[in-house]
Amino acid sequence: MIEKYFGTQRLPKKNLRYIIVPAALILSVLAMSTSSASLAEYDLSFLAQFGTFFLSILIQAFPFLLAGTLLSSIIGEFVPRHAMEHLLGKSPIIAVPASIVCAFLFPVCDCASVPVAARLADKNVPPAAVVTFMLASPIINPVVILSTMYAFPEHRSFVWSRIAIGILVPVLAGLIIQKFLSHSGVGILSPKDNEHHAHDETGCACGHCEHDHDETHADSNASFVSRIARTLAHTGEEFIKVSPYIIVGAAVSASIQTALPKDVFASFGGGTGIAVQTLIMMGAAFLLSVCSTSDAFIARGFLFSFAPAPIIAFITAGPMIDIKNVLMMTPYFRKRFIVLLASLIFILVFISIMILSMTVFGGVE
Amino acid sequence: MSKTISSNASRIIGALYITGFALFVVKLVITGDAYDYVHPRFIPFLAGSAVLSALIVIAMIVKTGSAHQTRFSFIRVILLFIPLLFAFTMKPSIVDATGEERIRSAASSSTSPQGTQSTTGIAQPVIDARKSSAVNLDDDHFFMILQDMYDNPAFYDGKKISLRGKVMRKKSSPTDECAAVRMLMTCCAADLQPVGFECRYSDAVKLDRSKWYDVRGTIRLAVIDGDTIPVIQADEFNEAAKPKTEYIYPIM
Repeated sequence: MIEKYFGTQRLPKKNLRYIIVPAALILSVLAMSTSSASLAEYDLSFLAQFGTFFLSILIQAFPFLLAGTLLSSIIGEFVPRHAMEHLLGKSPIIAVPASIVCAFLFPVCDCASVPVAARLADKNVPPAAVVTFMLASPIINPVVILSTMYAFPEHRSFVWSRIAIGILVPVLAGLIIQKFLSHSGVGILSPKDNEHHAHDETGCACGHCEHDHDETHADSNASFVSRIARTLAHTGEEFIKVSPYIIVGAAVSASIQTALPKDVFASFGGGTGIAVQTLIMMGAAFLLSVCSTSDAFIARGFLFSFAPAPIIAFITAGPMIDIKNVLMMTPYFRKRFIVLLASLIFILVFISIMILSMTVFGGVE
Repeated sequence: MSKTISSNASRIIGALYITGFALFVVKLVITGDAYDYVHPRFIPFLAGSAVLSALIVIAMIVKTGSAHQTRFSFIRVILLFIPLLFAFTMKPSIVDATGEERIRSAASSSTSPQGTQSTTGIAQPVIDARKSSAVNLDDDHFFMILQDMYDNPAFYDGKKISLRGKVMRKKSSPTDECAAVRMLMTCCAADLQPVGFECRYSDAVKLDRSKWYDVRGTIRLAVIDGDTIPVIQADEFNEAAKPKTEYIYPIM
């Protein structure tokens, strides 16, 4: 229903965070620009820089977000609810490898993979496969692999390590979450989505679509053109639904990138062990929310201060979990699922990096 | 902060947001300002998105919804229109705050055995640069050659170099030190980072950060923080016109 995407309930006070958080960040950036002696030395216009970063993140995400919501809507309109289940089964044995292949063939970042993953979950694709697809596609698609090769032309081990961890961690996280869910009996989609979309055969994962319940997607007798029109309209509705979250994510990321130059993280790296360096790099990846197609170039800059393995933590953890995609998951998935997923990613990436350090890069000292 | 409106009105507000953002994108593509925000590889995607947006907006408006009333959130709408406010009121502005510390880091990595590599798998412009007695860093190959200069500095020691770039220096830098840089964009403006060379130049303190310069000099190797890196012993900094594109975009 249309009211979903502009809110049907009386506005809860907690929604004020959508204003308070960006406003606080902008004010903090302004405060920094006037109070920091070392930065004021450069006579910078921080607000203009924030605005440029903010818009550039949104502009770059715009095509991918549209592509993701379009694909999500196409699946919603044209793929019957149980088709995926019949095709892949409830077991992850076929679904997980299939999701890895799909992730490889889906050359987009997390802006597109989140809505599509939510739709797949709504179509009864096993959670392990949904998680694998959502986490792996921003890392192992050809565009990202090529950019990593280009950024590290003489460090092919970085490329292979990134691909290996980009498959291993999503698969493990997916299987663990599926196991956890089978015990708890709880789904991964937010309850609003499930309740709203249980009404028809083909369903709808957006939770904010405006179609009326007497105008269901299951109307497969409608003409092809009208179904295309409905798909497009639904794409718009889903795009509007998720936009506020990516706007807040872009504002947070732009604020951090404006206030904290990337080499600030590098200054913490010297003289620390691999474990600490890995944690710093994972924290940097989470906060900076850099797109996976370009993070290898940012990571290259850290080579002066960090060992190779923590650099790989930066380019594997970031695409899977950062501020931007956590916010994007919020309207689709249960909070408990998001927290569990984020925790698993951090733990699994950290363990993978430690093993990588010991086996490939010569120790963890 | 919320009130009741018709669902059709609510749908139109959504369509307006998409229209506004799509118009902004179209403006960026037509005027070429898109290059200030994103890597050129995104331009076709942006153009395609604008077309898709038009179809989506038409579909949203044409679609007949129910006539019932719906409560809607002003906060959500305000949030949606904040990017449009920025989009239509500000010019892109990038200033790097960090001075020359980041310049090396953006281009360099741990070095390989210097001067001993075979040329297998190395791009032709890099091979040419290694063999030539003078290196010219034009826009098309700026980053590719610069990257090789940091990875394999021994190939370039003593060669003449020319490039066009801006100057960066801190007030605390020695008066004969500065950096000649270009800004590298790999995805969008948020990941811009300066790449270039530290320069030794007697009048470095007199150079203007806001101007473009043609830099000519000789490459020398220096050990800084334990890393061997190329620095430019500059002969001249001549004021120059702004390049066709302000940023360097690595080919991906």
